[in-house]
Amino acid sequence: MIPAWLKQANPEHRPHADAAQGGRKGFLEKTIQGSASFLEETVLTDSYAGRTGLLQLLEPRCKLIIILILIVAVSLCRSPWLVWGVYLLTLIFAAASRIEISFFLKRVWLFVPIFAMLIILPALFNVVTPGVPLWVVFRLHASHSFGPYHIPAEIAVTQEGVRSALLFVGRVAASVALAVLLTLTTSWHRLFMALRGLKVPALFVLTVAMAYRYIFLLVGIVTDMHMARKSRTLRYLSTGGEQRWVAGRIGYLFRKSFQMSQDVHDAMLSRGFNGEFTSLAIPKPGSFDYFCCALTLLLCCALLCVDRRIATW
Amino acid sequence: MPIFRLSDVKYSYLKRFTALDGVNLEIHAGESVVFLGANGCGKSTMLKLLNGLIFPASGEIRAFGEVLNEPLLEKNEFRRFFRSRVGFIFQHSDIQLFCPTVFEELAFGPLQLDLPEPEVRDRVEELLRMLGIEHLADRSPLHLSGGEKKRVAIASVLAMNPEVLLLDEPTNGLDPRTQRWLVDLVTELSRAGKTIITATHDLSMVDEIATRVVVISEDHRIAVEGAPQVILADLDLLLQANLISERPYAHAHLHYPWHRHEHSHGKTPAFHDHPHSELKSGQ
Repeated sequence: MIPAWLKQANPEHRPHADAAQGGRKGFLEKTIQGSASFLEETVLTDSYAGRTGLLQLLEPRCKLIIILILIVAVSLCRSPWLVWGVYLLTLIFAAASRIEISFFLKRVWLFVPIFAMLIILPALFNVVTPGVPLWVVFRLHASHSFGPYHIPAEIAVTQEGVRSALLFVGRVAASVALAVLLTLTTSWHRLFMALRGLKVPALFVLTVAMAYRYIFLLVGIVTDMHMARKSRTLRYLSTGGEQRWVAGRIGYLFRKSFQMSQDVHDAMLSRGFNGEFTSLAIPKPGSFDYFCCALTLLLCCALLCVDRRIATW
Repeated sequence: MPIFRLSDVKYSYLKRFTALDGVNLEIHAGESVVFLGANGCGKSTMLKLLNGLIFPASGEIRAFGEVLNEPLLEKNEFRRFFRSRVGFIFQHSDIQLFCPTVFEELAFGPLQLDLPEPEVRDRVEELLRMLGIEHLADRSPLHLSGGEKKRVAIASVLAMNPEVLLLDEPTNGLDPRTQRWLVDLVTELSRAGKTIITATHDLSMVDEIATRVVVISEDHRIAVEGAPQVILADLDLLLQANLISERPYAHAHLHYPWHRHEHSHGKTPAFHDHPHSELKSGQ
């Protein structure tokens, strides 16, 4: 039996579209939109791995080794100019792998300036890195000493500080660029396969691969939950209200993911899983892959030799 | 003036996967429209578009005479008007239920409408009685069965007294008795003047709840629209839209020269025997 109020017309009056007042987007709306764009970006990223380019030609295991060798070489290099040279090389690799340079730069420099530059900022000054002053920022009446710490009368950016900053930011930029090149030009499936090929325990790789797959599922659930609430939301809640909703949904997601992990494990058991993971054989690298590995190793050795020469001059 | 008017609406997920491609459609007040289509044809996307949860990549949707877009729904007054008029019952009730108890879940909408608390309580209690879930009032929605969750999800939307009800695969995963209850409820709400828009691939409920059927093909376009009796009689069309299979329930024919099942012609459930030859010819 339908109640009388449910048979009556809804008394809400239709406002004129132009006269209506604007609302605001809460942090929740923005966060959920961010997660949706993360999915979009991931799909876009996957498309790079399917293109025909230099790094896509390489067998994933060899590519992983090459990238690791280059990252180690960059970390050992003490000359900022050589480190930045390797960074320039990553740009050439990106272009040869048919990755748009603007996208690649954005992807790398989105994180590098925020973290690396903030960390290195104090090292520019003679308070942290003593040396030849390049630019005096301000002058104190006198120098001060606090135990082992010494503050000079002139606070200045030093030549040594700039060199350290260039070296540090260059190392971070080159390493991040190399890691980005690896993930952009290799599908996740092949990357996990490469890890298995490098004798990373299969169970560990399987767990990481499953976690990666379920992140998408959980992001999907979060987006759906948000839509369901949005559909019944007449006015934006206060920040406190939104926080309570988020807390409740986090709890729900914990329960859901816990339950799902049990279900997944049961499904594995029902298909014969006994705690030992056996996988398909991994395809072997070709002569081109071995050649590239050897060439990288050779170039890195040469790079480090030149670096030592520069250091002794 | 139609409640909804869609003009050449296109939508794709992640800018890659087409969900709807050039949809033109009008939905009028009091209609009961069923979107029929196979999995992945774009039925749920259609409902989300009609509910202003997502917006077309191109084309235009008019709702209550206004072009439905994000800036319009960000305006407080219009959002309040639109959300109270159009209720959406999601396929998975779990994602829709977020309050600590069933009672609070049902009170969420009316409280947002700024109704006085005694009226909200009356409304919630009447709905609990109507849907036969009074005993669940203090329970957490998390611990309910699938059928109970569906009832709570429906009640939570009805509590706002929407003019338009959007139902996404409403009978999915429900036992036969709950399915029957749902069909009866939808019919009753339709008789009470609500506009009902349902997305489903379950043919068994269509002729009971629909005044108009819109078939969405697997190429994400509207294949045909018309009266349910006409659409359901067109087996070629249903086959083409992947709504029926050429070999349904083949196992039954191994044992019997006829096929027995429940029908509801003329709204009266009854058992009929179909000769095997009749089934083969697709009747």
